[in-house]
This record gives sequence, structure tokens and C-alpha cells, in this order.
Amino acid sequence: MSHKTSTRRAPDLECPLASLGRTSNAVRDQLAAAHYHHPHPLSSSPLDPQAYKMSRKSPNLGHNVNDTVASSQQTPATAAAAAAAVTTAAAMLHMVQQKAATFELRGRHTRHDPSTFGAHSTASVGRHAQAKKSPELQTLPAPVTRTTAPVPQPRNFLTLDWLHGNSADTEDSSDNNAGGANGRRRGQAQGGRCSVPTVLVPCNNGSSAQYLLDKKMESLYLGNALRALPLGAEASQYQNERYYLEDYSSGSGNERLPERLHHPHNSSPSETSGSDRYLLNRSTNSPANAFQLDHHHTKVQSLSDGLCNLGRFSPSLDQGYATLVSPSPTGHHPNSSSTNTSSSVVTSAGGGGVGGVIASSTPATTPRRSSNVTGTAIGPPPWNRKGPYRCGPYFDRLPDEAVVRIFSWLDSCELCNVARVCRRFEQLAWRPVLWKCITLRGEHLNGDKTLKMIFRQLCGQSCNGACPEVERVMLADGCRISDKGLQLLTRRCPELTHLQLQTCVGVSNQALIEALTKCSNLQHLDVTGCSEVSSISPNPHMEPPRRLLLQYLDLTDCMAIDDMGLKIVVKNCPQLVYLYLRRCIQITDAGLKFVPSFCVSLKELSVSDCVNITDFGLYELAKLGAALRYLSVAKCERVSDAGLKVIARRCYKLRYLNARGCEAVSDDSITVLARSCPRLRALDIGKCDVSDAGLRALAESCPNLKKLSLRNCDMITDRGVQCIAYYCRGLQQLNIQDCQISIEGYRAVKKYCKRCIIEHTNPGFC
Amino acid sequence: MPIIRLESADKEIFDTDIEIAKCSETIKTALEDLGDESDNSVLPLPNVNSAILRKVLHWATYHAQDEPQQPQEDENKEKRTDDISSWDADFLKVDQGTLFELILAANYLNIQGLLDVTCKTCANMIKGKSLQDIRETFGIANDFSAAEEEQVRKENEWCEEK
Repeated sequence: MSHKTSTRRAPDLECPLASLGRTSNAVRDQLAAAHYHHPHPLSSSPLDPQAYKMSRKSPNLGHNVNDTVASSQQTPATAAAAAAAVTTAAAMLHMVQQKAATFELRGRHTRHDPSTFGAHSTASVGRHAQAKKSPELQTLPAPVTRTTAPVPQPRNFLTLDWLHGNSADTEDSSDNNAGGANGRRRGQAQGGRCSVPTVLVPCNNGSSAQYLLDKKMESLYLGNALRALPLGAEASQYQNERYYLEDYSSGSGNERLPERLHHPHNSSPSETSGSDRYLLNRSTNSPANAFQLDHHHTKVQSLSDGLCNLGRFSPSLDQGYATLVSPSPTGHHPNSSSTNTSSSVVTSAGGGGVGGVIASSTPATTPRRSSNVTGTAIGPPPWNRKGPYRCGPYFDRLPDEAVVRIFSWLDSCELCNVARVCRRFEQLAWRPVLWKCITLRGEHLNGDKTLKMIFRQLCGQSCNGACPEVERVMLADGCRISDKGLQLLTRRCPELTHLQLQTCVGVSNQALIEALTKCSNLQHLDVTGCSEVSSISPNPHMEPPRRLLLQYLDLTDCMAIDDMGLKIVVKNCPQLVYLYLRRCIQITDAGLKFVPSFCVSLKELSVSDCVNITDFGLYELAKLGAALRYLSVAKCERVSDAGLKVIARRCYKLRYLNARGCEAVSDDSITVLARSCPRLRALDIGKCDVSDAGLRALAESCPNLKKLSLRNCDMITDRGVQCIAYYCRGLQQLNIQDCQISIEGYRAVKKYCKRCIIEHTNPGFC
Repeated sequence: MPIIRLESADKEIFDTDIEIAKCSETIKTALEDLGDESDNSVLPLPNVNSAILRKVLHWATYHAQDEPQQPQEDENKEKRTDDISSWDADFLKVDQGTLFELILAANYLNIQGLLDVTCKTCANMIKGKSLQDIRETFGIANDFSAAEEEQVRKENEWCEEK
């Protein structure tokens, strides 16, 4: 308590941002100077106009082309020789040269017109053909199309863009062990929420002292709320690398609801260490201010909104008790209804016959109830009826569809709870429309038993009844099922499209094969931590043989998967777009080779912690080409510059790269990466052998960089960080934990990247 | 700015910008049916009283500039109830009676955004509460017979095993 609160409140003047609206002459002068002279961070004097002029020039591209091509001639050549692929080497070489040249052209072009860059970078795949012909074409908007070979569409085809947005956040975690699975799911659920407000409203310092006081109280409240986070979730998220870097590989991730709020869980990542004050300063924008702005609503919804709503209740929502007695606008007084309801208790308890009548008069929503129906008269629906069957004064007024709508915001467990409240609730809670998605979380739930009880309610007692409404079943956070449960599930839910079985160690490969054979619509499968699973395929003896429609497959921590297993997986799932193989430690380059040959449309791939992967594996993966947007090779310690360079050149549309812990990766490959992949939005080079030169290349070539992690990079100094800050103004997250960055670098980021959240370990930063 | 006159149940007239009023699918349909004759005519809303209509219009004015939500997205996103904006949260700091009237009005007028946020608020009042708390909060009587209650308890006990 003491540490965090004090660092948050005390040094107001230290923080460059805080000084924006206040009075610190030094800072003001500095800002004024910056305004007029735009000093380049690397220039010797901040006011040196010569240096400024130089710095505003485009980098010397002509020189760079030669440079890049030269290095490209060397590296793949040696590598190819080593791989004994001598025959293809020459052709490939030519291609690489050509591409490198194209990229340089493109780089030059975009520098002329940086404003259009962001637009076209979010736009589309399959434009590089145009781009090659004429770089000018790049600025034209182009439809989103895919160049990859056509694949048969699934029966219930859903556009998976949302998936992309979601999954994008599940950063491959290398620190994350099996215990972190909880946090991971949660982190994923909050995907793409890092929509930092787009408009920054200047502080209205004309507001009264009272208002400031309010804000302070709010900060305190936020602090407390943050501390109240469940420890496990926070800790695991903290480790979770996906948390640091978020993928922006598809525009859809960003386009989703711009007004969506920050969720507390990912809004303050560095809460466990020195947290960034900037976060809290922002809270001055709302809610009181927002209220005043009213019609000129700028969509500024600060972090505090999300934080206030932390957990399930915002303080303002939980007013049930206080308002129970207040008269309602329609004059329907609670007292009168309470007499009503008490009489209902008497009546219903009085005779068994009444129950039957009630059942017959309510809509037959569940088979179990309808089997009890004795009468034939169907009366008016219960909410219209006066009499002993009212369940309460407020809910009474709502029609069924409105109550169902309220219930639709409850999860499976909460639905079961409300089913016990009263008869009407029980009827409504088991409407099949509310059970499209069954979500069971937590150690305390016995998955097998729970599913059995749910299906008994939904499908009736008969053993072959099916619930075609159920489309998603998500078991996570320790809720597990065995083979028996999985068999029941697949028998009952033939229309399943999404299935998540986290850490179901009891599920055998055979049972999963049967499940995949039965649920032929499955598009999304997450078997994280199912240690028995050794491959993913339908029954191989089926006639005619069938491929799966899976587009999303998460095999994280499936230790039993080896190269042959992986071959079966990719062979049977040709439509895969997202594939995660984190910590599948048995996989080697030989297995990875099969991925590009079968899954041509793969967009995201993670092989974090697959320690056997080497540069040769990356040469194979590079065949995925422009389709690949997201790659994580975190902690693949045998990956080096050679592999990353080939990836960078061929997968030039890469938006996310995680090379954390690849200590053999140096400035060399980062420079090539920067030049080849200008669309890069998130990069983690923690612990890599990168220096300021690499950062400079990134800064100059990747203006779209939003997230960058330099954690544990010893060679990086303030200059590199200043350079990044100066060029990548859109930076949203920067991790400089365990780096040699002083307050100067920190201030530069604060100054240029107004929206950046800095994660650091220096308690001296304000 | 074209104006439409809305009449609440208690005969109060609200002069409203037609574009704002159109956030209600019900009003929009009614206007389309009326066609050009709608000039200065009064649209009666017999199911909404003036206090509630005023609040609804306040909400609609504030959210007039919002982009319409994609239904596709609704289908796919996880159920989140903690993403109510601060303005909406403030707006819904009302007593239960008003909240339920707003739900009813949003349902009647068919205003998806308002219906969502009010239902979320109501769901938040249910979440995390025990059975008894829910009954007390909303003044709901337990109308199960003893035998039924036992049966329902058995059917749903799985979510309580802690």
C-alpha cells in the first residue's frame, strides 16, 4: 500500500506529463523549445538547427539497398549451402534481392506520406502484387482479399476476424507455466481492449479544488481496486508475454468497438513493479468531465471507467437494497406487491394441484416441465396475470423476452443460481437460447457431472436427446472433464463450433478423435494442457475420408505431440489460420516443415519454448510468406539472425514478432526485419543482443510500432529509446524493465508518445 | 432540423429531433408508415410516461453520434457486463423502479443500445449474489413448494460445490 500509493501521489512535478497543465518553468521552456525546434533525440544539442535538419531527412535509402542486398546475398547462401538445398539457392537469392529492392522503394514512398501509411497497412493482404508494379498504388484503398489458395468453406462459415482480434492477445507465453493457464484465458478474453482513448482532452485546470480532490480520491480508489485483483490472475498475466505485446495483425482487432473500455486487467500491466503514473493522470478526463462535455462527447473514456467497474459491480450499480422501498414512477408500490407475493407462497405451498396448473399455463420451455403438463388450458403469460403467481414487483412488469435478455448477460453458473429463485425464473433460465455458450470455470466444478446436469435440463431425460442449440462449450480454470464427459458432450451437441478443454489431462487421444469425428462443424479447438493428446484428426478409417474444418487450434502444453503428430494435425486441418504450439517440446524442425506445406493460409503461429526449433525450421516457416502475420519464437534459443532474416524477408507482412529470449538475435536481423516488415506493430526482443543501432532501424522503418518490449536488453541506452520515441509516436506500450534506461529516455517517451504505457523497474521514475 | 412531437402516456409533448427519435426502431417504423404526413403530427407513446421518456431521450441525445453496433459482433463476443461506460453508469444511477421502467421502455421502443446497457446493469445486480440476496434485492417471493425447491436445488447444486 505505502509504496505504490506514495509513488503515485507524491512527485507531481517530476512527471513531464503532469507539468503539461501546471507550472514548472523548466519544463515549460523545454516544451516550448521542443515546439519550435523539434530537436532530434540523437542530435548533440537540443536546439541545434543543423542537426534538426539532418534528422528530418529520410535515411539514406540508396545506401541501405546495397547494404541489405549484400547481406541477403551472403546469409541465405551460406544457410542454403548448409541445408544442402543448393539447387534452389540461386532462384531464391534472386527473389530475395528483388524483394529487398521493392521494400526499399516502399519505405521511401511511405516516408513521403506517413499519414496514409497507417491506413493502408491496416488494409489488406494480397496487395503486394500491385505494390510491386507501382508503389503509388499503395495509397489507394483496396478490398480485403487473400491471395492464398482457395480452400473449401466450412458449412457454418463464420468470419473469423473477431477470432483474430481475440487470439491476438494471447501472447505466447514462455514464462507461463501450466499454472498460468487461468490468466491466459482471461487475458485472451479481454483481447483487443487496449484501445487507448483516441482523443486527448487537455486538463481543464479551471476546475475547482473540489474537483481535483475528487480525482485524487478516485486515484486512491483505483489503487485499492487494483490491489484487490485476484493475485493469481495478476501474477500469471504479468508473466504472460502475450500480455505485453498485442497483435495488431488484422485491422479488425482495432476496429472493434472503439468505445470499448480498458479493462483493468490489461490496463495496468506493471502494477507489480513501478507502475506508470501516466495511467492515472488520464483519469482526469472523466467521468465528471465527460458529463459536462455531453453533446460534444469525444469518446474519451478513461481507464478509470473500466477500473471503477472492476469486478462485477461498479459502486453505482449495486443499489438494490436502498431503492427497494423508494416509490417507483408508476406508483406501483412495493408494499402492495409484497402482500401479493406472500399470498402466493401460501397458495403454492397449499396444494400440490396448483403446481400442475402453473406448469401447464407457462410456456413449455423445457422438456422436463412440459412432461409435467396436466391441463390443456393455456392461459395468458404469467406476467400479465394478476393473482398468486407473480414473482416480484419489478420483474413482474417485464415481459419474458426482456427477462431473458437480462439473463443473457449471466454465465452458466449464475443462470443455475437464478433458476432457483422462483418458478418463472426457472422456466426462463433454461430457455435453450441462453445456453448457446456453456462456460464453466473454476476448480470447484466437476466438469463431467456439471455437463450431465445441464444436458439433463436442456435435452430432457432421454439418453439420445440432443441440444443442437449449444454451439460453444468452454471449460477452463480447472474445470475438467474426462473421456466420459467428452463422449456425453459430443453426443448431445453435434452442432458444436467452439470447444475449449483446458488442462483436461484425463481426455485421451482416442476420445478426442471420436469427438472430432462427430462434431464436424468444429472450427475452434483449444486443448491447452491436455497432456494425452498426441494429434488432432477425425477417425482415419472413415469412408470417405474427411478433413476437419478447424481454423483455430491451440495445442499449447500438449507435450505428447511430436513431429509425426504435428504432421497428422496439419494434414487434417488444412484450413488452419491460427495455430499455437507453445511448449510442445518434442517438435523439431522436421515437424515444422509440414506446417507450410499443408496450412497455406496460416496467419498466426507460435512455437514459443519449442527448444528444438532452429534456423532451419524458420527457413521452412518462411514459405508461409505474406500470409503470416504473427509469429512467436520466444525462447527458442537456437534461433539466430539467419533464421529471422529469412522470415523477415519472405513474411514481409508480419505485424507481430516475438523473439524474446533468443539471445543469438542481434542488430543484424532486427535491421533487416525493420526494413522488410514496415507493418510491424508489436515486437518483443527482450534479452536479445540488440543495441541502439537496431532500435534506430526500427524507429526509422516501422512507424506503426505500437508495442515494444526491450526487457533485459543490456546494450540499449537512452539514445535508442529516444529515437524510438521520436519516430514511433503511436507507441502504446513500452517495456524497459531491467534496462539501462535513465530518466532521460523515460522522459523522451513521455514527451513524444502521449499514449504510451511504460513498464519499467526503476523506482526513480515518477 | 426536422422535429417530431412525441406524446407520453401522461399527455406531455416532447419536441424531439427526428434523427434522435429514430434511434428507436419503433418510432422509425411508425415514421416510415406515416410518410410525409408526419409534419407536426403527434406520435403517441402510450406505454411510456413522461419521466421515463425524458430519460430515454436524454440517453438517445447523448448516444446519437455512436456508430451502430454490428450484430455479428454481439454474436461472438464474450458476455461482458463490466464495460458500461461511465456516462451510462451515471445515467443509470436510478432506483430500481426507474431502471425496470427503462428496460420496459427500451423494449417497447426497441432501442438496442439502451436495452443492452439497462439489462447489463440489471444483470450486474444479480451477479455474485446468493439466492436469498437476489430475492431480497428484487422483492421476489419464493414460490416453490418445499418438494419443488428440493428438486430445483438438486438440479442446480453443481454450481455451488465449493
